[in-house]
Amino acid sequence: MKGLILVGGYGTRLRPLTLSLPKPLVEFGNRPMILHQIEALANAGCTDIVLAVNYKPEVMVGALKQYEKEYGVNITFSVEEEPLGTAGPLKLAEKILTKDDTPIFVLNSDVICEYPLTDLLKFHTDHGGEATIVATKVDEPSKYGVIVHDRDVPNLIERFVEKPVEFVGNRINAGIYVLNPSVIDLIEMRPTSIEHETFPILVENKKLFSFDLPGYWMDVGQPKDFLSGMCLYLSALTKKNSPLLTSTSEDYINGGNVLIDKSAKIGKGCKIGPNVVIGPNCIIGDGVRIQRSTILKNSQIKDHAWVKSTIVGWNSTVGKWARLEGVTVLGEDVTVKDEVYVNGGKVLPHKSIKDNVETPQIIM
Amino acid sequence: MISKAVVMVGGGSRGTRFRPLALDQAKIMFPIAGKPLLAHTIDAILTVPTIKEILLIGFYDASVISDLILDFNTQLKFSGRDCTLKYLKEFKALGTAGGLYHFREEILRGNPDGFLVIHGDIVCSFPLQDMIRVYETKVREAEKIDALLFGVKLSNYDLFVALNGSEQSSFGTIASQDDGKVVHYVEKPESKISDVINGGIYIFNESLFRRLSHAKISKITIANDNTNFEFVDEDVISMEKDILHNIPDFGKTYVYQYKGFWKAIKTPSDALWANELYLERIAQDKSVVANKMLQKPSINIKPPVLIHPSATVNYENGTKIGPYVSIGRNCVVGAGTRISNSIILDGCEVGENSIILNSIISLNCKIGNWSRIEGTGINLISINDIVKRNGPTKIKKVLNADNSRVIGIKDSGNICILGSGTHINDDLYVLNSFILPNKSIKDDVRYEIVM
Repeated sequence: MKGLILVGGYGTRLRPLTLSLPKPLVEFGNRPMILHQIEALANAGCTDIVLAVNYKPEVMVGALKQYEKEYGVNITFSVEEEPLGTAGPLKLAEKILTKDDTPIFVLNSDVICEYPLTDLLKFHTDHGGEATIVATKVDEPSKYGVIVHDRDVPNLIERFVEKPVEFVGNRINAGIYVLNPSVIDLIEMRPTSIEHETFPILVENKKLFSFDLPGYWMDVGQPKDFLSGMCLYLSALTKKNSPLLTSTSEDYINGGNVLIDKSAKIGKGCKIGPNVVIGPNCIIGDGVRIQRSTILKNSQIKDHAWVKSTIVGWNSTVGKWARLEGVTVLGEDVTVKDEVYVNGGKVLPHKSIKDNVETPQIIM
Repeated sequence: MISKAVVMVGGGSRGTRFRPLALDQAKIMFPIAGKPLLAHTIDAILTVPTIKEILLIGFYDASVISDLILDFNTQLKFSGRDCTLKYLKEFKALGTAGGLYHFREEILRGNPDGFLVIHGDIVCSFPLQDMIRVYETKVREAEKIDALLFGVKLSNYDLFVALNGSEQSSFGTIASQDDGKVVHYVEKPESKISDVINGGIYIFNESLFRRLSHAKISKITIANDNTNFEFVDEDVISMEKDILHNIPDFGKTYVYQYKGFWKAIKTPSDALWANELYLERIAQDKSVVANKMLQKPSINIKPPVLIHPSATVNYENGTKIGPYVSIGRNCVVGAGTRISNSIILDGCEVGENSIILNSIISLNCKIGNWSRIEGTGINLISINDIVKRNGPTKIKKVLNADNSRVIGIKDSGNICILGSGTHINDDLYVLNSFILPNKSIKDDVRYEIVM
């Protein structure tokens, strides 16, 4: 089994975090984002994983070497000279992907979900088509490309409707596919889109099916969605009674869905939760209130600070009685001085914030 | 000998500019640095040993200040000081000088050589003894002197203009000769005449009443003039427009020049400013009685901070209070709380880990845990710097840009006010807003007046 993860470019949508670390290595739920996908692929029996990237940062090469060992997989970078769209990278990595007859998983690196890849694979082999798209149901399908099914054959895709004005369905492409190696033959070696060029051919041939994704799904490519996705991820962990979560019997936990690394220190009289992730070696002072936020590793939240809907970047410091909210994102090594208020500030690395930031803005 | 002082306490305008705090109590009774505004003025007058009688003239209901007067009189009696306080209630609002005319017999009883007249909403260091010394020296030198005005020299005219938003002064402006003789007086001039403004303190003698009579007669004449269609109330006399305006014709009037801190308390932000100035002064002056409530510096206290002995502050978990904080009777402040530059009135409860900055919290408010009550203020030092660099026009633009979101406070920036009985839930943020009394706040409030 083989998998390809579409990583793409610089992850500019997740800046200022991605100014310090490539997006796949930014921790989501205390683990690098890409690790969620590598683990899912390894568990589904993949031995070869291709990362389709526009650039290959050294830090990523090092990190992935480690994961290769950990999960017993071969990880290959497929570097695009020019952006090849969503289908081009498959062609580029053709050698690895078509080395045997087993199907290929294609994952989008921005997407988080429960990755039921084993069920997906079974579904794929059972229907006998060439490819399977994972579909997720959304509330507002008019913003996406919607999947319309064949009337007679279950799960067979009849057509796609881009941004439908009238309701035709609420299943959308979740950015996760299983392809037979033969699909690669349909792709030409040029920048091309799998959604707009490859899939329509498969639809024509009645070879494309969709699989309903159970559970949550979120594109976490930007800060606002990163936090929403975090809530979904933590809720799913709670549902599974995951031992990763901090026990709600701790007196500082409020409402649950809290994931705190064992090396983090929590002061007295804190009220943390719901929906909080606190990374390794973080120091949380006394009387701190945190909700709906991710605190990345080695950061310090000082006494009486109030943090909501915020991502605190690595090695940052939030001062006493400071108040952060409104999808504030602190880059790496940012200091927010005591008593300062930040609303929706996107703070670039190594900055010190001394004055209130009342309205959402970028602090260079 | 100056044996009398008259305090014009006002009360005619219902204190609309002092809202929402005026909805809770009279402006002159508003506690600043631990005691009512009016008590600061009276204490200052009592530092003059020759004063035997203090007359308070105004339109407030007597019940508003009767307790204060009783307290003072009892205290004076026990301390053996020969001085009494008396409230003279106007039959209607008589303007800034009408009350002086109406109660002229009361003021002139005992034939004082001269008397102090002080506006009740003035905050300054009240150098009254020095002012009296200057008056008496002038009397000896000039034989006949009609009045001595308290002129406040603005230390930085540009800054004043900048903060005021225009060249138009909101005060009376005094022009004088080198020897201090007043040659010109204009109320609220539109252009710069002088950097000395009327500080609302005067020493007058019986010649004032000739002036008041003239003013009264001309008022009656105008009021009864059938060709004049404008309504003129013959009872109302304005100190500024009817008396001081005619000063060049007013015999020999001199100005006493003062350079220290000075402020007329008009709006709630002025009160916060006054709190800062008075606390600073109390902290520096070891002899002041209020020292009992003054807190010693510690890791929890950044002075000056005044806390009433009946208030309970939990200093655990790094509670930090100050500078410029006054906390009233029976207040309860929770652990891990931060309070700076604020007045907390009697009976308030502040939850744990909350932060209060540049705010006035009126009587019996309840603030939850992890709340943030914040006025952003304006950093005067930085404004002063900008003014020095760019002159007043530039800063006007800066302030105006900011003013688009400021609620009626031009001169001292943004503050937050919670009216009495306000309840603030846990985790909320109240920014630069005014909350009218007895509201329960359940959501964040920013730049709003909550009715």
